[in-house]
Amino acid sequence: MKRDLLDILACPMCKGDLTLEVFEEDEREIIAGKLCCKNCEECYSIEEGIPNMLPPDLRD
Amino acid sequence: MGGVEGLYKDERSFWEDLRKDGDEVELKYARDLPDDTPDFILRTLISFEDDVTRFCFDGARGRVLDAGCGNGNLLIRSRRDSSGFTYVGLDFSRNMLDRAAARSKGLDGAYFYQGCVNKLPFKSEIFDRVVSSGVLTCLSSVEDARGALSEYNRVLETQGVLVVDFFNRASHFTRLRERVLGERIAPPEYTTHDEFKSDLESAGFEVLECRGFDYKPYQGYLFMSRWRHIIDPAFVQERISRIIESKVAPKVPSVNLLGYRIYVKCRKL
Repeated sequence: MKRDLLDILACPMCKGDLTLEVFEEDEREIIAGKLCCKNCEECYSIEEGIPNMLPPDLRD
Repeated sequence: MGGVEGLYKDERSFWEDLRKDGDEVELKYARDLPDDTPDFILRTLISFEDDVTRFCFDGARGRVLDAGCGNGNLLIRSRRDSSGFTYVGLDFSRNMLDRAAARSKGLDGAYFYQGCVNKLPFKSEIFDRVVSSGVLTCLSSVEDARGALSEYNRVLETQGVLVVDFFNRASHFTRLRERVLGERIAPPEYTTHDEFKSDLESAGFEVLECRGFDYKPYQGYLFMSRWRHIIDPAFVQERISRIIESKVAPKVPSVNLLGYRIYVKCRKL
């Protein structure tokens, strides 16, 4: 995930703003990390560069 | 597991469990075609997808969301003619997203997110265009489809363009299946142009243009594959259908509404 595309993301549940925590990053993108909603506090993982923004009840 | 959530997970499991690879396989996945699909059908399908891509992406600029991008078939095609927009692909299947990401390596301005079309993980009014092909017809309920239209409206800029498709409940083929074969033909998989237009207008869109596809006397290779070699060995119905959808429908607007699959371009008011 590109850092500058964080600007377009919102929590899928409450549409709140997200905070980003980076675990791994290369020169192009964030490889692993976590996005958390400032409003409802739900968190979404970033794995191998792709954020999993599925609502909690639809995740595996 | 039951109800709407169960149906959703079943649909997602189908896509997550597909494991074959290769460009030809990717094309078949997009339409759920059998492994022994003949070359003629694949060529027809490629031609159809090229037409759909032009209808969905021609004139696109700024930031474009492909809601339900699957394995990226439309993305790959859209990038052949134009790269004047940022492509954001969203799908509920990680397997399909990984395929799309792998196929788009080397293409600038393509980004992917795993998510659900009726709970989009995006801020409001940030896309210039939303394309959603073969998605609303797969949703579990009319409410889910309306929820997705509402979300598409929310994330689009005012005057932004939405392109979506539906299976026409009033097509000859659908009527045949409903009345002769006794199949259940119901929304959200099947709807009429008037019903779909009403849902789009309720969600805040104005319909600009329709484009019809699939005019086969009996719908396609997929459904008649066991008997195709006997009934239509020369693919006559596919040839006739392709001529109508590529040569006739673009010039005669009313013919578009007779197609089995109809793409609708509309604008957010």
